[in-house]
Amino acid sequence: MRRRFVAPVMLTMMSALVLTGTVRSQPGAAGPRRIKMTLRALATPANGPSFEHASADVALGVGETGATSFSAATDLCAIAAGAMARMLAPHHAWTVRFTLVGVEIDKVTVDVVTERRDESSPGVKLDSRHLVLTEGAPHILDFVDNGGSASCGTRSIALEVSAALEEAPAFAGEMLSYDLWLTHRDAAGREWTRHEGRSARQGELTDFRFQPLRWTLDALIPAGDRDMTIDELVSGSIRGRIRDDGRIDVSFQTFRALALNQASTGELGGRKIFVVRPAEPIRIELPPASGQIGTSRPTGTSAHVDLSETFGGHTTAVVVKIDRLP
Amino acid sequence: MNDRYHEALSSLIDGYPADPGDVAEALELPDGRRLLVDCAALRMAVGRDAAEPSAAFYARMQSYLAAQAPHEPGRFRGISVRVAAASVAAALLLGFGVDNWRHRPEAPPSTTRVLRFEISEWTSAKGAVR
Repeated sequence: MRRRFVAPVMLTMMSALVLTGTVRSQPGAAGPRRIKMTLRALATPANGPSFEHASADVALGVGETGATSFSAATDLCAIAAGAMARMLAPHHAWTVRFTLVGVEIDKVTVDVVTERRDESSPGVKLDSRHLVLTEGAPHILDFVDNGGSASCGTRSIALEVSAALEEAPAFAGEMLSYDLWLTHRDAAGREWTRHEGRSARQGELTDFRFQPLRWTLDALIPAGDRDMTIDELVSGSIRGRIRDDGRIDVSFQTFRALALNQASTGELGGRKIFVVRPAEPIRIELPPASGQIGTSRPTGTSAHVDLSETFGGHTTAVVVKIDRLP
Repeated sequence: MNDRYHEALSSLIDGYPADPGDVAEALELPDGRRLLVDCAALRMAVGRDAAEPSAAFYARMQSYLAAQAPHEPGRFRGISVRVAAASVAAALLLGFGVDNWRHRPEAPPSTTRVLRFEISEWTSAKGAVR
């Protein structure tokens, strides 16, 4: 557990630091892998980017409950993390209690109860949430703004939580190779492909982005404009984790955008979670293209393309093969 | 890319008649364009090959030929030893290049399992979720 205090205000704080991170085991529910729940206080100055001001974490198995705390001076210039810090100056205090419900790759289910006490107002504000988190992705629990009155420049603080899986020691150093193919097949069976290779430590999230596929419009539809091009851009991220039985848990997220000259559909996507054997190729098909794109021709006239019609009978897929590196 | 397009581009680069329609369709495909560039590079590499046998090699070949066929002195004179050796080197180089080209991973591995994203699963906006 990490503690960080801002020096100038430490004098105004007293130190009754205790507790937190206390973990109460629930019989028979602890799994072999544990989740580290991390609370962070992100401070935002009035005139610059946000930064991490303090953090605290607690490790849990499935069924276990643990808690940690934060305190902040009312002007947000001082923050204490990981303890029930009581300040001499007016302050805010949070106690956050987690109960880990379930763990899958990129799917951590946790119940979170937040108690907030503000010295300026009596009573406790209670907030209960049932969260399903992807690994490392933050969820904002609370937010405080000081109205711009602080001498230290801090304007606001956001309290966020994220979950990370503690890797099994037996596989912690293992590397995985990711062989990724983008395939696009038209109704006549013609196929276009792109290839990307990646390697990463097991459990790490790895990004990929294929070189765009490009067609002139007249190659896709009979009356298409030869000067107009459509690009298909596919990207995403993949995380593999070795299971005790040697198979690999996979979390695969992909996005696709279709662009007509400068106009684009924007990147939409989805996530699949599955299990593969090492070196077993698997094909993941994206939904058919749909909607319309409109753009302006160089001549100034407008052009609209119906994507369902243009890509009727086409299939876009990503073929994934994951293997353990020696 | 299918065999028809392959054949069309190979014929074109080798100077044989090729169906213009097949060539046009093959060149619409990125793989077709890549194949054409590969073939052009291979042909250039072969053309640039300046490997020549040494003088000692010539001398040994001359004496060997004289010993093997003294009564047919003109048989090998139509094809110089230099051309024969260069042809052998070119054939080796061509074979090596073709072999390398054939073993490039140009196609995705065949799969037995297919997963499909349903429209209802296709909802994440880039940047919103990691």
